[in-house]
Amino acid sequence: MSVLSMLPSTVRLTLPMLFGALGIVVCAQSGIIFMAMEGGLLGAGFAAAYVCFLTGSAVLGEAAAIVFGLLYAMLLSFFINQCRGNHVVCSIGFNFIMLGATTVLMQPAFGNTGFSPNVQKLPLVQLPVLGEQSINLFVMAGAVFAVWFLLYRTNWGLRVRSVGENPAAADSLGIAVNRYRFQAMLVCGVLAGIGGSELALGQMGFFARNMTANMGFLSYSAVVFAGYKPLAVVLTTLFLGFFDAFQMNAQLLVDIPSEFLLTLPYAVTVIALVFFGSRKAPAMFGKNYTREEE
Amino acid sequence: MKNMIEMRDIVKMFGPSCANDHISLSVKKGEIISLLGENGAGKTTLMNVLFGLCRRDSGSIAIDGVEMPVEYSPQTAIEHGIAMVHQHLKLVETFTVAQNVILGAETMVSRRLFRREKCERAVGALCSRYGMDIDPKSVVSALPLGAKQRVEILKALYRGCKVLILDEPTTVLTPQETDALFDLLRSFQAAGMTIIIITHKLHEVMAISSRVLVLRQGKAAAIFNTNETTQAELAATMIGKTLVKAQVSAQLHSHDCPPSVELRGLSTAAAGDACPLRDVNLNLYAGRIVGVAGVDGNGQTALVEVLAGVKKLSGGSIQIGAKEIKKNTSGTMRQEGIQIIPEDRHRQGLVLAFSVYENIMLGYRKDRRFVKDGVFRKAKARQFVSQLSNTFDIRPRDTGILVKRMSGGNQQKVVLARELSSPDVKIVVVSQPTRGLDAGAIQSVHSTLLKLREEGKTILLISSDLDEIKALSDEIAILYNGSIAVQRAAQGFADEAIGLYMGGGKEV
Repeated sequence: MSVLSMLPSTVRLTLPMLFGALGIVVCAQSGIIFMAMEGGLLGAGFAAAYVCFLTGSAVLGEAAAIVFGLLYAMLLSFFINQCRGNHVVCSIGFNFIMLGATTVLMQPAFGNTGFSPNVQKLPLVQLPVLGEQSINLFVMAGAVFAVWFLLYRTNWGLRVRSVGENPAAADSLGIAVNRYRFQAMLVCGVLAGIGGSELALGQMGFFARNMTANMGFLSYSAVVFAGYKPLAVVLTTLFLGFFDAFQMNAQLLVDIPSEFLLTLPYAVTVIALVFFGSRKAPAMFGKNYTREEE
Repeated sequence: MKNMIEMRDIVKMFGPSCANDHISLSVKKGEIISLLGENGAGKTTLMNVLFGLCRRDSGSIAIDGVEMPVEYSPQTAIEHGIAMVHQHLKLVETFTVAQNVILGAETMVSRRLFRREKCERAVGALCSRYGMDIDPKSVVSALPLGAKQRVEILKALYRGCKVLILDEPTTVLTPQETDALFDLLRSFQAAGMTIIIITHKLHEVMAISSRVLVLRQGKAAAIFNTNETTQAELAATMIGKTLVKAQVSAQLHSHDCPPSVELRGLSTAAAGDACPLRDVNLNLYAGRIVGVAGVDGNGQTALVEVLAGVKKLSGGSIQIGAKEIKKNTSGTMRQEGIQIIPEDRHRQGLVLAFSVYENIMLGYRKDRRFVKDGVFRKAKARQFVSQLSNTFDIRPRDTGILVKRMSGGNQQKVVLARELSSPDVKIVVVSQPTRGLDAGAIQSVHSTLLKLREEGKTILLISSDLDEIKALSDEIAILYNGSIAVQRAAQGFADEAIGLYMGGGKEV
């Protein structure tokens, strides 16, 4: 079992996580704690599988997942930005709702409570070294660049970051704080949609109950681990993805109870966060902004 | 000459209280005018109305001859050439100077893409045009306060402002920075800019402005030409009575008695950007005030922290009476009767979301008078707190009110009341006790300190307000780069000499 031989599965396991993590980064830079990625990926995966199941088209499935992601982000933004809800509490609520909703809807949608029927997968490409990968690998490469470019090379990004660092300053310069936070969440929604569809249609070709299995939370840790930076997040998600792949391979090879191996990615996450968890977050991370009235 | 700003009969109510009661103000083009008044007199509100941050209830406003609608946003005000530098600077600390300056007006450089070099060049050009020595590439969090304020001014200049409003611009500045700011403002004036300064410092009014509008309790008390008035007259108008300036009676030099506290060679380990102590030697005397002057950031914070026992000494010792302390913990320092009035009352001195009663009792958690078998005796404690409230003139007298709803001066009185009412206070360390307070509150803090001095307490006063140091101290010590440059009797210590030591120089 060489590291190289694990590369294809590492990349496959990393992809959905990375989409999620990129979305979380954009939100974080605008000051939003987007803890709801778990529910976002799960819901998007369900939407992708269902539409693909109905139409037979994986591309339409992915489109549906993106639409779902947008609606999901809009709704969460309503609670956080309009109703001034606590970011973490709202997010956790959304995660529970999505877990419950997708579980309940399995039966009417697919006629099965555990798994959907196999559906059309997204187009695959054969690559040297990386092996067989979903077409979303290229989407991901584009997304990483796009997020970095948006945040650091556009006026929009400057505003988004200012809103995360000092909303009062941004407001005094005529920058509508909640509008930029809303837009950042929309970007995040799109990425959550692609991530969820990659999980269901890129890798498996079906939807399973709770198929994310905490991937949304892992992607969140990867973001903290990466210091909330879009390029570093590629490395940290790959790092976590590698341990996931290692754990899967090791189950076949060594005689350790699989339960222990299953905990490996999570254990690595905890250890990594002990060392890197204090990376500097945007100053107004998770704080709603209200204009000061005298 | 045409009036740049014409505010007529402005009324602004906050609930039942009237913050601005029929105030009129007209400012000529190219004029520097001051708004003088105590905290809560309505100065900032009046300017917030002008800047579009508050909606006026009645009255009219014309900017450069254009009548303004009843409700308009700061955006509109900016478009009309008005810029406001707030008391609490509004900067994105992690951004560079250039990013801060162009934020919100990026389209003046490029439509969509953020062009770093172009922005830096534009801001650099602006700096050199106005003779400001600021690198557009430097990150704001690394700049000293004076420079941050100039970044705030650059933001205004970049947007092509014609009227610059500065809210208490000098509270956070050292004397040198203040002078530099005033020079800058004069050069703006020469370029035809109109400037409005909100302040409560009388000598600044005299130094910079040609006219001054004095506000008192929401009303326009009077308007003066500065060359036809005196500081005393302004003070009387501002507070409605004549202010007696606190001043120590001339004392003989105190070396005839032994020091009650000796700081010997205090040093601390360097941590972060803060200046550590490097071999600080200082003597304090019972019944005397020793004032430590110096430009902010020369070790004042570390000195207070060492005396509070929250920062470990890496060398040296503190001799209090017969006891020599090398390991300074907050417990031992308190035991020796040291009370600290911290410089940042919001972060270190008070729990803002607690009431006056709770904040004061925090300091008496173990006091036998109020605690019996671990249970508070409420009646006694309440009586004690309301007694303190009277002694220190804390307003309002209701001790159940949350501290965050009080004015800065009264908040400071709460800290003083708590720290100075313990029966075993021997040594008092006060740091920046009057920062951000108005004249009335300053006077009350000063008289409290003088009273303690008469009671024979040992007092160390650390302040960046040189006037305060000179008015109160028996001896002046100057902190420069983490050590005491000089300690000598306040009498006869000339301003020029003090300035020299503060800047790291020596007398010849």
